[in-house]
Amino acid sequence: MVIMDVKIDNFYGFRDFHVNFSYPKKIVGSNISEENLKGFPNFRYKKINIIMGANATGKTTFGHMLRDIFNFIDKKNYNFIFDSINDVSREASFSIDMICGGEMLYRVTCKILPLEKEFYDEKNLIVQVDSTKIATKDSYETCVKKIVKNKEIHSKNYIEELEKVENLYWLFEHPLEVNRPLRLPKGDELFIKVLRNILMSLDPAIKSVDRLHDVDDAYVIRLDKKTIIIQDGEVFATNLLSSGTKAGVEVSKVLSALIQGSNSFYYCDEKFSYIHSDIEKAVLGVMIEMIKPNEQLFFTTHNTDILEMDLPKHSFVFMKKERYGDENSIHCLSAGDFLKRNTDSLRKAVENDLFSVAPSTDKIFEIESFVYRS
Amino acid sequence: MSNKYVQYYVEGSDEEKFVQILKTSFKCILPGKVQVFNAATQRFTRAQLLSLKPKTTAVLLFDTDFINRIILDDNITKLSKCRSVDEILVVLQVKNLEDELLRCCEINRIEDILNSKSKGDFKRDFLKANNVDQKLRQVKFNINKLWIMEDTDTCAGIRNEGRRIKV
Repeated sequence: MVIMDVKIDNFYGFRDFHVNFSYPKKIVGSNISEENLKGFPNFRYKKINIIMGANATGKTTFGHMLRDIFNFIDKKNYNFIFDSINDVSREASFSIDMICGGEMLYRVTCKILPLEKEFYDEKNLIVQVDSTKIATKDSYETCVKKIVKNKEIHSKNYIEELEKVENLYWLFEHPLEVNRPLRLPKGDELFIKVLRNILMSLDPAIKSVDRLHDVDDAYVIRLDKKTIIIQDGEVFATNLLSSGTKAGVEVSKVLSALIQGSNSFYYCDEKFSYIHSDIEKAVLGVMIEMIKPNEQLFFTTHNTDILEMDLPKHSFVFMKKERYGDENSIHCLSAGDFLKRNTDSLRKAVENDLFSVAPSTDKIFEIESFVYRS
Repeated sequence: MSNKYVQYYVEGSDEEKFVQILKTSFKCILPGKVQVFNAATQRFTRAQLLSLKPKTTAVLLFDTDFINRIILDDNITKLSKCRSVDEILVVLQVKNLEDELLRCCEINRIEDILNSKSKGDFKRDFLKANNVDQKLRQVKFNINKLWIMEDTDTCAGIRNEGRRIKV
């Protein structure tokens, strides 16, 4: 599954937000193979999207919004999107262009009228689904022109509209929450191998990682003098492993799913905050190498070492939040729109804040003056 | 210290330990990260090359007693095409680490370094010991005699660049 364009207004912190995931021309010698729909060489899409930005700039919220949209479309349940409306006195809307199976481009637009009664219901909702078959020589842009020209007939019933869209598949992994139960894949032979390699890389004291045969969906991690059991559905609360090693369990889940093509759309959100940069880069490298055709990866990180990876500039997206009067507005910038040459150093550009996304540290340094005041 | 980066790819965990000792205890070779990967028998993947920092010098360290020349040549070609790699240095252990240590220490048998019971035990003892640097000093390890031999058999045409990583 691939998303090509997203517009969001009045959901979470998004106001007139727009991001596009096509790119203008093929990159020669790119380390990302097949960055176009399989069988459609001109239908280019950003397969790998590394999202960076200061804290609270919407990296996680964007993932939440996409998940809400996918759930709404897939389950036809409007509660997935009503709960994330920001200002109920205003209209909220989103539009998403996406490819599900590989041969049709869908555009789902949704408007939610302002709340007049106590609760939102179906009457507040206007959903339209447009689509076009992708021809062999089509690009995303030519398909959009076809959609605009088509003037498809829409049902007033939002469920009937959403039924036009093929099945969606996705995997969202967000930062570790304290005391959240583990969700481990069931009966997945590759997972145990990936888990073993990841955990033993994160903690050399780990001697082995094996499936626990007497208990369903449970694994045993053996250190020198201790063993730790992890089990699906149980809270992972041991103090015997570092935060990074615990994070490694969830990283293993995403990596295993991606290698097997289980979900086709992956949003890997700050899973590496506790993990060494070299390991993060190595895992991302394996993800890039193993992602399948017609799949898409979103990877959020604060790690500037990632900027040095030899990837197309358009793979890097920077989010920032700007304040206009009483309102905040989230924006997205693609490095590919600013740096055109292979030799341009993305790291230097970020360190010199070319994209104006660096956080302000004024208030941090102001703290020093508190002592002198007293 | 140079602004360049060095990435060592070494044949096995004993070479990994040896390079760490030379780098950190003896400080007699260029510092750089070490990965256990035999470039003479295993093929580089794109994922490995993606994680390299720009302006990296890739050092390939392997024994000459067992190499696949086709794989080695392919790897050198891949590295030379990689935008992050500035330079590739091949360091040959002729024929293996034990032979190199015999040449650069004042010993008659490899077992003498760690008082191992046998040649076979030496590798295990080497990996287990936490005082290898001390033991190498005791047997008068000489860096100038390490990694200086050429192998005109399996590695014909490949120069041993061992001296280029010594400081």
